[in-house]
Amino acid sequence: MADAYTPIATATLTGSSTGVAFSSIPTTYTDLIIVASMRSAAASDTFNTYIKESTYGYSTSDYSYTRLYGNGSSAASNRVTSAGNWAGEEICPSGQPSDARSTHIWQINNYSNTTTFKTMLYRGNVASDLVSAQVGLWRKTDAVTQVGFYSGVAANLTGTITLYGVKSA
Amino acid sequence: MLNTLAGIIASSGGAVALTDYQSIATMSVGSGGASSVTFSSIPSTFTHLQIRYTARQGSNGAIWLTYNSDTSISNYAIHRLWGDGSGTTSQGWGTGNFKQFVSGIPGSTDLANSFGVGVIDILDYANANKYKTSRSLSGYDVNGSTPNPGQIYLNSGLWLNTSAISSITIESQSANFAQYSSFALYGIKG
Repeated sequence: MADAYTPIATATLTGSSTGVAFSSIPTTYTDLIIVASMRSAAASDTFNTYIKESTYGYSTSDYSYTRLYGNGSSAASNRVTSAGNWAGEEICPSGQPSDARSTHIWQINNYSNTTTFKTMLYRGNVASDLVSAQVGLWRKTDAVTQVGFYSGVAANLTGTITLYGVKSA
Repeated sequence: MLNTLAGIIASSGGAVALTDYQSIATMSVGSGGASSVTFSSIPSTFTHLQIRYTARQGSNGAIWLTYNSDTSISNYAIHRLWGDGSGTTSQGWGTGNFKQFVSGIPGSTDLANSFGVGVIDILDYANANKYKTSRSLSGYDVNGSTPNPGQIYLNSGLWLNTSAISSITIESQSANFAQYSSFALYGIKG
């Protein structure tokens, strides 16, 4: 049986940039998984996640997403349609202890096929504030060759983010 | 591989492989569709199993799992927390209601080219001394289009049987799985 879970690239953000893009992603895997441990310099921040568009602020209407989240006192679900990115997922804010980080896992199944739209699953945890899950749609049939993760308020980020490839038999 | 931006230290790890996560088998649905797919003769040499899928079916409905050809709903139970974009629902069903529910997925009346996705973990599947528990994260989004605008699920499932799991059948509730649906089974070593 083949080894199936491979790290493709890792970025360490040192507090002087607002995000990162992984580009030239090989099409040889079945699914992509992106794992981040992150902190923002802003008092309130969320990730903006892009496919193909790697520059902060670039916007199209090809994204939509449905969220499920709880903040310790209640649970809620919301949907955003025809958006410029996948968004809404909180990053550990600056007001938390300096060693605190939020955790984020994005999964893009069947990312390299050129026949179907791409669906993404997300799970996030900000221990001080909330837990959340998201399913997102990118209404393009293009293979995913690039993914970008940026502060929603252009704040500097501190943490690590790793791109993995999962390859099925 | 990586766009190096200011303040980022980048490293490429493409040569490193994680040997404890292995692909066992993949089922892809062709142009004729399929009402179910089955992973059989699953080796007992792993600690946990994971199924990763991309799926669509002929009409909007659910995905079910059964283990070892046990189709009796008296042996399956589930709890789930899910959202539909406007509200949340927490539900639990004891035995006698459903096979192992996983998720809703889009159908032919939903946005073209949209597929549901999911990741299902089946823990300690080869242990013959206890019932088997699964968990899953799954859902689909169709940009808010009707009639089924999208759902996201967090599930926990129970199979009330102590047998080691040697086969898993994934079936469509209401119609065949559509072409380009795919289901991949992985084994995770302890």
